[in-house]
Amino acid sequence: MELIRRAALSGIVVGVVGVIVLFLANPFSGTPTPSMDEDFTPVAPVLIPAAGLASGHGLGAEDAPVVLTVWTDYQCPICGTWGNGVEPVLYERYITDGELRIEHRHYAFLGEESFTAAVGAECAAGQGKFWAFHSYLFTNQNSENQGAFSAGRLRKIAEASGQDLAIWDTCIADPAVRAEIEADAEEAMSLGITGTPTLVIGDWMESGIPAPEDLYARIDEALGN
Amino acid sequence: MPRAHRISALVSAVGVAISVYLLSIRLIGVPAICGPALGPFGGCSKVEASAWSSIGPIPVAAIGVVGSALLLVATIIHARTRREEVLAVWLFAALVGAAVEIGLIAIQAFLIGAWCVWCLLYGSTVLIGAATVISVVRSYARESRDLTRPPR
Repeated sequence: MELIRRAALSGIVVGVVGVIVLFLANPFSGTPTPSMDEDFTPVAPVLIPAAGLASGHGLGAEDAPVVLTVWTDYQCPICGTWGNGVEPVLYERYITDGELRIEHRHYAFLGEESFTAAVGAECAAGQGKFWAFHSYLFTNQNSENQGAFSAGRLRKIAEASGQDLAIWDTCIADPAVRAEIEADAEEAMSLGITGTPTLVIGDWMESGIPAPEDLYARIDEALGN
Repeated sequence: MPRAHRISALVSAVGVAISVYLLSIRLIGVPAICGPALGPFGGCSKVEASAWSSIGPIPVAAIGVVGSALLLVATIIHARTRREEVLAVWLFAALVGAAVEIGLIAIQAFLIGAWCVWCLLYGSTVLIGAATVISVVRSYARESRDLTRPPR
């Protein structure tokens, strides 16, 4: 019975330690993983915004009456559903009419490739082509930390999304850009954001993708409709 | 196979199936049967999107697959061999799993503020499995006492 007692005691101790690790799960503990095939042609996104509707880190008119801020991680599959599925619908429904602007914020927490992808997006923003790069990232997601956003593949995405590669290459090596992404993640945590995508309109904040009618109701309410 | 072992094997097999399903939603985009239609338990996308759905690069569902598979194997081997070492491993894994599941349920309740029906069903399999191994350990302890008691 001594062996059983030891197993019970160690099981309880390890279990409690496991719970503590879960509660304190460090979002920055991801490690780089081997690259997948570098020889790929990025798939183009469905949504190609009209001229003037993609500026800064946002999609939509800069003076739109409602701003929807979205915190995402480029490796998060549900963020992919948001970027590939929901944003095009909102674009047709609200953005082309000038009623809504979607502002993107980075919350990279799923591992090293989340950071490298976000750094690449920031470097695209520096060239005024953030949204194209951002959309390409979501369209070309492929599991987490398996090389989908390796340096080589991100460069292909940069090329496909129309970046000046010489400028982009210099930018991604700048540690200050990475520091910006880390600062964004810290800001997200300080706001109490615990997952992605997290949507914010004014005082309303919700993680995950709401049912379409609930999201439309939120936007309509903010529009005063 | 005794009843406790049958129950443990069944719930562990269900646990493996649920965690494989949750892992496939995350890794290969299998559609999640969840959402507002399930009322308060339809918060799967919110739970899956949370920082607690993975520990670093390892999805929690992957840990669930390994844990439930270990419980299943330990149950079957113990049912056949009745070896104390196997019972110790089974008890250890079940207690670790139960503690972590209680933690995950608390995280859904207090930190994420949403319930995922599949996560709760998975948690139930682990907690039922832990209850069965505890009942097996109690029987084993009774038998050990009876064997060591001097005859009258």
